[in-house]
This record gives sequence, structure tokens and C-alpha cells, in this order.
Amino acid sequence: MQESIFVVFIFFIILMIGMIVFYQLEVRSISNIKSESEENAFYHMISYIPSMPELQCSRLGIQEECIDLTKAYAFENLQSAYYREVFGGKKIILNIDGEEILLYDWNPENFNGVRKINSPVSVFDSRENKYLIGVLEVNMYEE
Amino acid sequence: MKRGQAQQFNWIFIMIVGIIILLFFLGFLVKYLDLQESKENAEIARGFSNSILSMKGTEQYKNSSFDFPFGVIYDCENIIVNEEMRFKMPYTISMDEFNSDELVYWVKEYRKGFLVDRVVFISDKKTKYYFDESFVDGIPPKVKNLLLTSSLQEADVIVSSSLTGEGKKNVLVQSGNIDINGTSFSYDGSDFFVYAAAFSSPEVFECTQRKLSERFNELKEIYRLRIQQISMYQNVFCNYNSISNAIASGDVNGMVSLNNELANLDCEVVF
Repeated sequence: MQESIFVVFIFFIILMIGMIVFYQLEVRSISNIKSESEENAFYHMISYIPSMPELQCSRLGIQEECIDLTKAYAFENLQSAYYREVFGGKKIILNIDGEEILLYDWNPENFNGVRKINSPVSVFDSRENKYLIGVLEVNMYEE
Repeated sequence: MKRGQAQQFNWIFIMIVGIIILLFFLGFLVKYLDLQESKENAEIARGFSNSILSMKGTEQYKNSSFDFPFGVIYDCENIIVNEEMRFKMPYTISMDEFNSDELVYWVKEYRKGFLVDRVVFISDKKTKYYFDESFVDGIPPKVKNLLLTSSLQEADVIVSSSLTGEGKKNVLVQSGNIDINGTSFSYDGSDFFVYAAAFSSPEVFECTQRKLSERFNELKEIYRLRIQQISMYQNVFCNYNSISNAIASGDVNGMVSLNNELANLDCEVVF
């Protein structure tokens, strides 16, 4: 009788441990969904940034699918805290013909790493009246 | 201890252990159900957030369905799904509280001389809107078909310059003022804010106006810096001083006509 009780007791102890582990895994899957959501927002930036009115080419109110180089220089010199709310802890660079235009950079005090994505973009140089191929680079500081 | 007493003790022990194990399982079940709910909320929040992010790039509309209804509150900074899952929304959106499984998204450009932002309007598909004839033209046909009604009785939201309805959300538009259920706001006369008022609560509307005003000021500075650059390589007949002043003072009609004038003179336009 006592042996049977002991076996059942051990069985339930193992079952409980299994359930606790399962529960922890489920909790972790929720935080994974949250971080996936943040990751999506990060990947989305690469398509959102060129379409921002601050950078997008426009002529007489008509928007074009390109980055205006003069706007990029203006944005580089803007020095506004406003965009911290939109971009958060990121570094955004436009590379064009070997030149690096730092569009935005704000890093949190303690970050563990940097994740980077980049994408080719069409850039219009109104000084030369020609289109160039640039690379937009978005770096995310990971806390 | 006698044999009978020992057996009695064993049974009491088994019952106590059994009750503890049962309570553990019940506790686990309750926790697990809560956890599943949180997981579903996180998945809904992810889907909802992705829908908004994917729409910001251009003017468009979308109709989307979810597996089951969910409640959303927007406090101007965060979106809260089912009062639990909170995610930050750094972009400007315009919506009222809802609990629904079918949503309509409409991205509308806000222009104040130049493009300031593309704002996502979100509505429960079941909410019906009545708009005065003068405001209907600015709404895309598909959004009209999904959300608009011509009957005041059927409408949940009435947007008009004279009509109101009892027990409904009333948006009264009168000479430079928008009144949302008794809360009055001044606005710049743009139809954009009429639609924003229809789709949002007074708190969200106030916040939308503030965010767009901040963005407009940032863009004014961008265009001032851009003018500095383009005036360096344009010929001397292209005078950018007037448009620079018009932008700095927020004179919308002035900046548009001066921008057109620059185009007529074959000069680089500002926006």
C-alpha cells in the first residue's frame, strides 16, 4: 500500500514539474510574440522612412517614390527631439556615393547589441537633376 | 499503532495529498486559461499593430476581419487590446474605443500647404456614419459603401453642420469649430479634421491635432533648411525669401502660390 502511494506521489511530482515547465514555456511564448511585434515595427521602418514627408521627393504636392537628397541633408541638420518618439533607440543612415548621411541617432544608455537592416533606395539629387541609388540603413539598439 | 489505525491514517494521508494535488491542478487550469487569454491578446495586438504599420506609407483603405471580437482603447500613446496587452503606437492614428471583429482602415493625407502626415482612421465596420453631403466627396467609394448611411436613424455617428441625433455621437461642424459630443475644438477648416472628428473621441481628436501641429512645425524647419540649400545652386532670379517667410509664418495659401510661382519661373520648387 505504502509503495503504491509512494509511486503515485512521485508520478504527481513529476507531472507537476512538467506542468510548471510547460507553463514557463507558454509565458515565454507570449514575450516572444511581443518581441516579434517590436521586430515587425523595426522591419517596417525600412519601408516607412523613405515615405516620410520629411524625406520623400515631392513636386507641386505630388509625392514620388524616392528620397530627396536636399531633404536628407536638412533632416541631418534638424537636431530635433521630436523624432525620438517615432524612432526610439535607432541609428538611421543614408549611404550615397560613398557619403554617409546620418539622419538620426539616439542610443539608450545601456544597450547590449545592435541589429541592422538595409535596403536600396532611389535618391533624387536636385542639384544635378539626377536619380542615384542609395542604401538606407536602420540600426536598432537592443536593450 | 494497530493495523486498523495505520490503514485509517493512510487513507487520511491519501485524501490530504489528493486534495492538494487537485487544488494544484485547478490552480494550474485557472492560470493556464489566463495565460491562453494573454497569448490570444498578444497575437491580436501583433496583428492589429502590423495592420496599422503596413498602411502608413500611402493613402489607401483596408477592410479586415479577425477570428473573434476584441476591444481596443487608444490613449494617444499606446493601444490597449482587451484591457491587457499594451503596445506603443508612435504614429498618428484616429480611432474611438471599439469592440469588434471587423475593422475598416482608411489612410488619409493631411496637407497644410505640403504633406504633413498620413493618418490612419480606424473604425468598427458595424458603426454607421451619416455625413452631410458636402463632406461625402472626400471619402473613397469603398469606405463610403462600408461605413456610410444616408439615414439619420441608422447612423451611430452624425457629422453635420446642423443635424444632431439623441443617443448618438454628434459631430457638429460650424465655421472654424468642430464640436464632438459637446466638446468644442477650433480647426483650420480642412475636411481632414471633420473625418478625424468622426472617427475619434474628443481626447484622441485633441491629441491628433497636437501631434499634427508638432509635425507641421518640424516640417517647416526641414523646408527652411532645404531652401537654404537649393537657393545656393539656383540662379539669382529664383527668389526664395518670400516662400521662406510664408512657410515660417504658416501662411498656407501664400506658400502654395509662391511654390507654384517658382515652378512657373523654372526654379526648383520647395515642396
